[in-house]
Amino acid sequence: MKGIIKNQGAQFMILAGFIIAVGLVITTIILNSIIFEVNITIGGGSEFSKYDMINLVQITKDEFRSAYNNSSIDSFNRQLDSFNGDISKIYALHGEGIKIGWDTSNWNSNSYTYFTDNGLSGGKTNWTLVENVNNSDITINIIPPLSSSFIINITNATKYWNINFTTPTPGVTIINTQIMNHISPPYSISFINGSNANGNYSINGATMNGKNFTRARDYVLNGTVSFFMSRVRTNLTIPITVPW
Amino acid sequence: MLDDQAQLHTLEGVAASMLILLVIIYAIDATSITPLTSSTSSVQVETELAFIGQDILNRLDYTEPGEISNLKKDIIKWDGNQYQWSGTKYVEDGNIGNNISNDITDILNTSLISKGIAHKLEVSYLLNNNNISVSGPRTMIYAGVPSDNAVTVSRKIVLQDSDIVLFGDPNSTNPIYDVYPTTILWNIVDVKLVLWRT
Repeated sequence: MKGIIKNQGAQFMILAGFIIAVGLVITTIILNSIIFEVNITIGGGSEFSKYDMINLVQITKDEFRSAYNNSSIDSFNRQLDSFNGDISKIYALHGEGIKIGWDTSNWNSNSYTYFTDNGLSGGKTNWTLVENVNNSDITINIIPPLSSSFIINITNATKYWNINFTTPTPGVTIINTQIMNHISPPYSISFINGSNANGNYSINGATMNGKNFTRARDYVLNGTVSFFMSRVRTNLTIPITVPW
Repeated sequence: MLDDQAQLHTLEGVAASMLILLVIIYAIDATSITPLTSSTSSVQVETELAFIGQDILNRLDYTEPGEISNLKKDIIKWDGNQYQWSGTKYVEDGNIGNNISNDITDILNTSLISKGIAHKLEVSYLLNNNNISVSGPRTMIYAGVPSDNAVTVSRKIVLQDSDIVLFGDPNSTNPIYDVYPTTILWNIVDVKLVLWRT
């Protein structure tokens, strides 16, 4: 027993083990802090947030639509040239590069859109354009080919009125009085089988709370948004419906 | 040299110093967790502030087709002065008789002031001095110098001639002007909202 108590080698081993254990804990904590801070710094410096991207896409769409109202392709190109040069200066403040591209071939060749929700053939074919309508005038131009029937559906809480198109119909206007003969407000306006037909439309009116609205579409123009930072490069092609 | 006691004392000293180091590291980590420091916990605070800021800008910049957003409208109608919260309203710096009340100040008041979140609103815009450049930030709403863990959210807005026609010519003291008189592009403005906990 006396011999065991005096065994200082065992005390050294216990103490050494204790020091190694505590050393490991300290090293782990410090390493964890370093890795965490580095990740936060890298993440914060390189992130182009989804909000920034949404904002960029939105102002690009707005600019396309504003430029489209210039009514000539030359004016459209001039305005987007100015926009492309200037928007890059604003983004350069944050160390981000921006380039906007555009394609007006659909406009140039009078290739109207499908009556789907996004104007493309694969878009949602049955969709609602506006709800809670008090009064409206609908102008629609359906060009060949019309693969089968296309319907404008006007619905209120109790009734509906279907305006059925089975042949191409150039420039027809359904005025508010005609709608009121079938449906009382508030009503909603929907397109049914929108992928069956091409053309352009314009709906102007007011909602039940007195707010004026416009829904109109002629073409789908393809816009390209290129975004680049030192570590990230992104190209987005977005179909933009004009005028709205 | 053969004194085992001395070696043991040395090892005990090392062990004690490591324990003290461990305690110090733990104490530093614990005390740094405050709303105003850039620590592990304040990442949550910053994220929350960023969401609030983005929601405010989304709300202000929402618009129906063919209409102009409240954010654009308020930037056009801004008189170029700097305003501070006085306790009841936003008043001009150095001229408490002049105050500002619009959709921007309304939403800042209801969303931020009631929660004790300090905020600053700055705008940068294009200048045309023979060539196009970007102005330095110009403060619209001011609430002091942001803390280290302040977050910034921004929104770019494009002003067209048609927007200006809708609301009439901007105030003569508004620093934002038509950089392209020959086109319908009027100016591009970067609106920055800085938020921090007080």
